[in-house]
Amino acid sequence: MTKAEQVTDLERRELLEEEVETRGASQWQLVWRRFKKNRTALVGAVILLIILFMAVSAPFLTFTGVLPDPNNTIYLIDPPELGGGSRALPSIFHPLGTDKLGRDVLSRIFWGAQTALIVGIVAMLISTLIAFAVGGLSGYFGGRVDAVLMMLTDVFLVMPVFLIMLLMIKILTVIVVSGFGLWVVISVLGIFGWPQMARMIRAEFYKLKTLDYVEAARELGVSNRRIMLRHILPNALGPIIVVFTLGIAGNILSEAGLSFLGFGDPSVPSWGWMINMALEIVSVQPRLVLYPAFMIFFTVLAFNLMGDGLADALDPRLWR
Amino acid sequence: MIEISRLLKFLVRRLLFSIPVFFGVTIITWALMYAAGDPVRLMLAGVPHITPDVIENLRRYYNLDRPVWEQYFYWIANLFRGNFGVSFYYDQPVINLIVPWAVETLKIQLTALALAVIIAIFVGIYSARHPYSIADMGVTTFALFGVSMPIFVWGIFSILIFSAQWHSISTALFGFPIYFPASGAHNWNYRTFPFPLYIADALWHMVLPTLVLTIVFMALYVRLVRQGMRETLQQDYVLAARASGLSNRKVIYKHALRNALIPLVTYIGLAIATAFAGAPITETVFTWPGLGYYYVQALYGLDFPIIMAVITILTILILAANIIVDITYGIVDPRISVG
Repeated sequence: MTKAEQVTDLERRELLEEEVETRGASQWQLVWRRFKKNRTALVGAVILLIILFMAVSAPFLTFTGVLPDPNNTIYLIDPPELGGGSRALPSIFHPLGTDKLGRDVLSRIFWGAQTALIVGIVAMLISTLIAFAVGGLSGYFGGRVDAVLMMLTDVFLVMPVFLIMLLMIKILTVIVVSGFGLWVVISVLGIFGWPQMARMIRAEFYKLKTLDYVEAARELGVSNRRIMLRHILPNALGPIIVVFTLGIAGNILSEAGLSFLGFGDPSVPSWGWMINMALEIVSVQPRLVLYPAFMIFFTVLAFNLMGDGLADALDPRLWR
Repeated sequence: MIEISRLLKFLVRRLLFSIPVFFGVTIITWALMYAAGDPVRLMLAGVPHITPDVIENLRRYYNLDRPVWEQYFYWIANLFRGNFGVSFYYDQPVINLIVPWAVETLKIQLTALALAVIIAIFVGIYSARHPYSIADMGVTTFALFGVSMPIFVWGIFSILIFSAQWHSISTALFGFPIYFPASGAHNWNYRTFPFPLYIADALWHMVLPTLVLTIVFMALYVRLVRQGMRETLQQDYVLAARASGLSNRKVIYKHALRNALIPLVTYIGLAIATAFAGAPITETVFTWPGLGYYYVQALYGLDFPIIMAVITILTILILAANIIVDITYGIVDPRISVG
């Protein structure tokens, strides 16, 4: 956590001087200044930038021929001198070797970064929209709306969500034509990921709606929708960003778990699916499991560090 | 202490809340399964010489010719008689199959939960009393790693270290290789074992799955205990207790602990749903014959009676666990009356 409790007099004076400097800075500038000082959060940000770079550069590297196509199985029949074959050891042609079907592992690791980020962020965006609708209406209007919506939230909180996600993905992929597998996974993760955030948004809205400036806006005849979007939402944004960041980490873990059980999309390079395919031979070639496992670990770690850092930076009580 | 009548009133209210949850979950599951199509076609896939009569009779036998809401009520009515239907794949009543599975799941989940809470309390208190020491840094780093690593990766590592290729690690540490089985809940001939050996065998098989679950649960809980304890230790009443000359041990375990545990108890209530629902992954890694493992197997084969039964049983278990947690909440925090 923060070292605010341990400040000496000298540090306190420095902080005070800094506060004088910060007069006139906007809220987000203050947040950034605080975030910059948190070393662990910066480590998270750097890891995240690397992974973001991998995700963005994967298509360019593939189209310029630096990396092979992640779905190309032609290397299966390449001679060993060219590093081909099933689960071939690392060589100059395939720096991390090939997988069971002869596909290049390094290329799949790069493309997997893209999949992980897309799944994590898009699913969380869906969750946020639902959470904002449920939590916002519930906190703003209260009364019977609140009672019904919170009952719904509680039902979603105590459901064995992962089991129902598995069932839903299985059945949707049976009904829906194959080829949309990743989007099925994303929407299912999004549909079930909102209850925690809805509760948090509800609490924020409940707190903010009684403040004077909201009362004033209401007296002036501003519509409910405008009050919610323009006056309350910007002030509730801090905690929402923190839950959003931590939620991305949770979604990436869930996607890995789903793929590990064989409920992901096999046509898209995904780290969880790579572990699933390498698992049968883990005692002979653990490296094929270790590469994607470490990628998942570092990505989730980065989002968790960022989330903790943002929580500290966004909490006005901790501002000095 | 809590008065009995208020406790009863509270229990009734919690049970009343459980009813919409129960129906919500079963209706969602039911709707999903109805959307998947006709199970008779699935059952007869690949079977030669099927006449329309056979299909008609099967549909009548499983009540599939009735409207969907009527089928749902049949299912609910049968449920209260303890009848979950007949598994398509095993061709046996689901209730006979599912009880041993539930026992196996509860065995590892509850052991891990208890171990994780106990260890997390002690480690968390130590770490809160020595903030920013090396031990505290180690604990927080471990907690962060624990929540960032997928549970199946922990499982794969533990299998590699204790059950497969990497036994040189335990040899280097202890001088001899340590072996724990990586799959199953019993030895293949466990029915012939005398009683003490049977227990020892079951415990031996439990070690790896329980270890992995404990690590993952503990990583979550230790952060909460540490944070709660640090906040509590700065409260005025703790300082007052310390100023009045009470021993450190007494201040922490008698005065501070109860308040520090409140966030943990709140969190466990929410986390139980996630923990039980995470069973498929853990149990698949260790081929543990529990609800989660057979649930995944049933999904591969679309064995609907088993899918419905597992989701229902897990929902009931989660609701029961939540009621227990709420009662504990009232005991831990005297300010929150359960009434």
